[in-house]
Amino acid sequence: MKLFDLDWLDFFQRLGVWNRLALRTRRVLSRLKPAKTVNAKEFGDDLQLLADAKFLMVYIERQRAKLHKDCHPFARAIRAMCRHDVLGQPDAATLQNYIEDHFTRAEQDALSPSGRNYRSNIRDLASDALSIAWLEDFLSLKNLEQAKEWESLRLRTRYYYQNASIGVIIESSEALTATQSIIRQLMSSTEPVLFGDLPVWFKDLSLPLLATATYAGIRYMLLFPSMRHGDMTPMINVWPTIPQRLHRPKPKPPRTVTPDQSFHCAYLMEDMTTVLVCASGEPPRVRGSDQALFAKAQKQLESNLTSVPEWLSQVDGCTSGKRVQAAVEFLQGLRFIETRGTQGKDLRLEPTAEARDWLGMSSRDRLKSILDRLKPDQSRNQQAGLPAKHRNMPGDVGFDMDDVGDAARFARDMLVLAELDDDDDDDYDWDAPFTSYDYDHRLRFLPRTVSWGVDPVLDLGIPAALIDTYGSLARRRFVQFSQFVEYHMQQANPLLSRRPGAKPLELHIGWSRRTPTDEEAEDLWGQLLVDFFRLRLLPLGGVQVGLEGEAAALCISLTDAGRYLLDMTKDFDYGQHSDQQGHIVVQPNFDIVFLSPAPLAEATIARFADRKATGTGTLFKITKKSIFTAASCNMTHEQVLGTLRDLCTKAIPTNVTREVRDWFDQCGRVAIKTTLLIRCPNARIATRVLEAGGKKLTPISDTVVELADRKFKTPLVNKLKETGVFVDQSSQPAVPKPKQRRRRRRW
Amino acid sequence: MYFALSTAPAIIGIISLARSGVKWSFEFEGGGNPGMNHNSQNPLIVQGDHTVLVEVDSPRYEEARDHLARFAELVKSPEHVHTYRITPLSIWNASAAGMAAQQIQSVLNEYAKYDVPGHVLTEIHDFASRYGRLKLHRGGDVLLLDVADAPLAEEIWRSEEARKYLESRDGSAGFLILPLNRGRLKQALVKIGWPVEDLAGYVDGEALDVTLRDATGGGLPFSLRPYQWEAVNVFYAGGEATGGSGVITLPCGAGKTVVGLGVMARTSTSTLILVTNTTAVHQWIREILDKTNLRPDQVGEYTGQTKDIRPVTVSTYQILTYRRSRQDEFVHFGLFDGRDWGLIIYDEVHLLPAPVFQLTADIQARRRLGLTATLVREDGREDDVFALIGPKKYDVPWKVMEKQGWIATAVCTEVRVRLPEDMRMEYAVTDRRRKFRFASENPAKLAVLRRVLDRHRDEQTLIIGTYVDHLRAIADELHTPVLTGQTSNVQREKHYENFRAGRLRTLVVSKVANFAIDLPDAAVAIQVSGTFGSRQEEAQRLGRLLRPKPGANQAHFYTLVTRETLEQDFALKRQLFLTEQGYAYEILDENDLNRPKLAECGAGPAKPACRQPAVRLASGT
Repeated sequence: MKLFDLDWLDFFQRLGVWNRLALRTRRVLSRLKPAKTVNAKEFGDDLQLLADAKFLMVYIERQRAKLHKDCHPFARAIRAMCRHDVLGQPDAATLQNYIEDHFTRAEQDALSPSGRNYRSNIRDLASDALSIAWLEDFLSLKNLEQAKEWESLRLRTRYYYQNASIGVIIESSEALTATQSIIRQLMSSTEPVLFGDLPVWFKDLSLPLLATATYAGIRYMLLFPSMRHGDMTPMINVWPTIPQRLHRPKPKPPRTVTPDQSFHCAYLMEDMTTVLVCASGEPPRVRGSDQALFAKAQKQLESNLTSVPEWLSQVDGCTSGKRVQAAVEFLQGLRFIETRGTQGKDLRLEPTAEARDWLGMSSRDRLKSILDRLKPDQSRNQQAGLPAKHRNMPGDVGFDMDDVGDAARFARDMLVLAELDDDDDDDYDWDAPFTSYDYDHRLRFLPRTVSWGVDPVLDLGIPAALIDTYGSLARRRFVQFSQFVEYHMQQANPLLSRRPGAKPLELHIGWSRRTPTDEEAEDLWGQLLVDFFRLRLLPLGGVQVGLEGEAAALCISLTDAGRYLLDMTKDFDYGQHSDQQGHIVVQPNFDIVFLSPAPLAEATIARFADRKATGTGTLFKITKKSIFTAASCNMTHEQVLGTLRDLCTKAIPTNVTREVRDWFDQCGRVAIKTTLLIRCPNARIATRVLEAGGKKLTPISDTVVELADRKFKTPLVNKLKETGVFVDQSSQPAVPKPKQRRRRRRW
Repeated sequence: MYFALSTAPAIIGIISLARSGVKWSFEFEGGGNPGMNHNSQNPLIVQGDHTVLVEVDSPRYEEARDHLARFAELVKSPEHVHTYRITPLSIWNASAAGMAAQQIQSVLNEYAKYDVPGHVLTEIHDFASRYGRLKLHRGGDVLLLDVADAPLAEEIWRSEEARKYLESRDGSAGFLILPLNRGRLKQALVKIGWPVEDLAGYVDGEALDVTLRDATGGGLPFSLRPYQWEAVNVFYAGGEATGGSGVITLPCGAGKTVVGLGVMARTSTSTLILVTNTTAVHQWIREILDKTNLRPDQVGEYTGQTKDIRPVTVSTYQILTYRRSRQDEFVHFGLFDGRDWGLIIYDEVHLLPAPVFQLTADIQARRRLGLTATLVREDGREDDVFALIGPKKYDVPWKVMEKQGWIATAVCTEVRVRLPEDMRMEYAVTDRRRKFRFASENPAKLAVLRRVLDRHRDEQTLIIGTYVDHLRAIADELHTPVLTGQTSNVQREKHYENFRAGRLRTLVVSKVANFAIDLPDAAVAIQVSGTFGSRQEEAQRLGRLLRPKPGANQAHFYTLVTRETLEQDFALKRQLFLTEQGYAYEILDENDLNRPKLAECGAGPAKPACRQPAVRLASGT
């Protein structure tokens, strides 16, 4: 142990003097390092007390002061307590920093259950240390022999050359009992305890025994000392979330609530539509380096997205930037959009023919086609179509990178990391090497923020458990989402209540594998519930969300689309609910005005009108260009006018109807292809050419013949030669050689 | 069996509605209920870009509109939802009319469907707070500009634009100004965002007894309509310095000329009237003699042909801005000093040419009245109108006047005509610059024109176009006179007189008829070609029809457009403009003209359409 390896008896003895010091003096002392001298006046009236108690040495006619040699360990402990606010900010990151600061690598390995078998991971150790099981493991020791075995296990590593610690601390049964009683007492207290109060709390323990017990608790990460910064008082406690968890009330089943306002829209599907419509008009350009959208294209797409309530945009994944990203990735996964063009020149996203068919469908059918791809059975089957090296291999394979399955899992883990680290200032773009072949990772039933593997998931029954959990929501009844998640994390968590005889779960974090703690199992399930909500149900219209009460608490209600995704119903309606339609007016000047918010209608109209704004007001304008774009997406004037008639509260002006119809009439589709034209001197020769070419040739005029299949050129030339018709090769226009690009030397 | 967790439980906070301690919390920032308050009965939606949408069908529409019109400019008024815009100028106009920022804010709050964006309310307060902080007073031979506080005075003193018109400082928060710089200073200060409240007053000018008659020269009873009286009174403001200069906005056909006469009668002073062209000069003179007690010898015409300066003189912008070369001076600017004018009337003030602005800046001591149908200028110099002519004093929307029967209801119809088959290839290969004219002169339009004329065979009809040769060919075919810029004034007046008297049913007119001709009995206009997508031209041409009609009080405005050509693209711009003004707009195919008119549907069999073979008209200049 680096900093707290000290004489804790001396610490307790000096603590009395520390408690008598003024706050200012404590602060000065906490910053004072052994070799440093300071102006003695800094200590004010406490100078004499500190000198007498051998805290300080005073020099030069009491002008300067420095730490007394005997006080160095105490001062080190005080400084160390100030470094990490483990009791004030008890999160995993704080604990990881604490561990890194106080324990050597060898000590970490020795303390970590996984480290004893393999190289440990601070995250693993921290996860273990903040679990109730970590303490209960120690509390279960019944005698000194067990304690010695327990302790010796935590003092050695599998590497002979590493020394984990100085030696055994718990040398007697009294020490074991004392340590266990301190821990039990602190577990029962929801608040940290003052260091100075320990002797009072445990009067029956001698100070040396108390000091030994405290040291053992700190050394084995059962107790955590820290400084209360307000009054610079040393505190001690078990990890604070443990008593909180022990004393938390049992969650009740979520109660039905009535939201003050609600929102329902499959905005991911609508965003995909928007991206496709925009791409049909002007394909958005992508960067050659990482295939991501250029900022300008991204911004333009963002400005065209369907509006969601401002409060909903606080949900991660619902920001306009991430919505565009998700829409593009789903489109790529569905092969509705492809990257075309020349690398580094005009790379762009263009819709495929399937996309045009998809755009021609109704809202409900478009949504259904996505949900069908995501449903649990579909997501399993889609693996079959992938090349072996891109599949997520089942089973517990080793970590040899030559193994295809492991490489795939490695790639997948990196993808997960990349997604999670979106907001971090991570210089390395983890996403870049993998996105090219793993686009469809989003098109699975389970979101991949928590990576669950494939076949093991089926064995664990995660999708089924998820379906049961969300399926428990009553139809058209709202419940508070926080209550729903809390209840299912604690009371109906399939990871905690495993079937009898089932193999223990194994948790993979990076390279390490271990059994998850109960706390992790709760967190994992909670995380999955939240992620399934924010990445599946919410963007695909599976839930209606609302806000309830003064605190604006999020509440949810499962919709028919959600039930369809969960395979609880065979069919669903979408986009025809009158309560979702606002007051919409088409004006004779082609403006479409929303007098109240109607996100569903907004999304529908965005397919054939230019967006001007979001929310309420003049949101769209029908223009010739927007109608041409709609026509290029296989929409018809009947669809456009029918949609407007359905959505609008007033009759559509006749000039608008007429103009829309006329614009559609102007549209047509042509094919551009490269072909060869054979120019003949007269009709007689042309006839002979046609005879020679047979069905491969098509007459364009009396003297011009078309050869569509260029591969047939050489055979045709030979055949013509045999019949006495010679092809004048020199008459062909010289094809200019493409300019050779000067290569830039890259350094 | 395994499952993989990609990273530590720190990721639990990935949703921003995050987990605190051991509990999930899904509450949104700001607490409370973050949704919008909604009152569906209210007609206004105030948007963040300072536009205000007004729902016409709302029960509170009329009261909201009356309030809103005081501080916002009507941008467009299509059928169901009208759009207004709040600008610094509109707020200053309201402030000039005595409306406080709090009143504006309370109007918006009271009539808005949803909460008004906070920044809009703040900016309204900011704009309004700028008005009245600079006041211009008369101080003997010079003018005094009083500034509300010293820092602002310092800012103005250091402003390059305004500094050159400030003579000297008068204390820490005031300036001395030469009367000559009065207009230019106001103009410069508006440009830097500080409007001036001009309280320096006006010269009375040469007195002239002007009264309105009770009956016109033709013996018909005459008096100002209520809204005309109101406009006159608001402008005059009891002779106070707060009135006497500004703009009155009334739609075409609402009697702006008569309002001008009313102001002349109220000020009783010698008046200079500036109009757009000679025809309009004659119209004004005719109206003055017809409706006031002034004798012909008191009313002069100052145009290219005649240069009489009388107590009331009517002139054109063209003659004022005439000069031999760009280096020469404007030789007719002397007209402004020709008499001691007490009132200057600017007709169609939105067309005021830039040199006249310069001149107007020099005559700020005289009362100035601007008359227009729209304050929107194609060159965006609305701020100069505000600074030099004055704030908007009175405004009535077109649709209100129409509803009250003061102007005729207009129905706009676009008839799409196919290009003859033999001309399509010629059109396809024509240079883009010539395509518009080629399509405009589509000979197939003549047959359609005949069918339209046949529909309205009992009504006075104007055929309006841009290309003179095309119009002449039409006139020849229809055996009707054509008026162009080359037609002499005598001839023109003769044709007008015949048309007015009903001796002539159809009259073909070129662009000269765009402005200020008075054809009270024209009920139908057929536009065979236009100047690309000009909104102003469209407004003016339609305006010819808007004077009240006996009977159904309905006017018809047809536009013939060649289908699938550049002309149709430009027609779309005109269509947008007219629909945004609130007119019903119908698009018909040439074959649809064979069917009965909408108004006649169900009222009997359709009238047989006149079928004429398409006549190829000569093109060229």
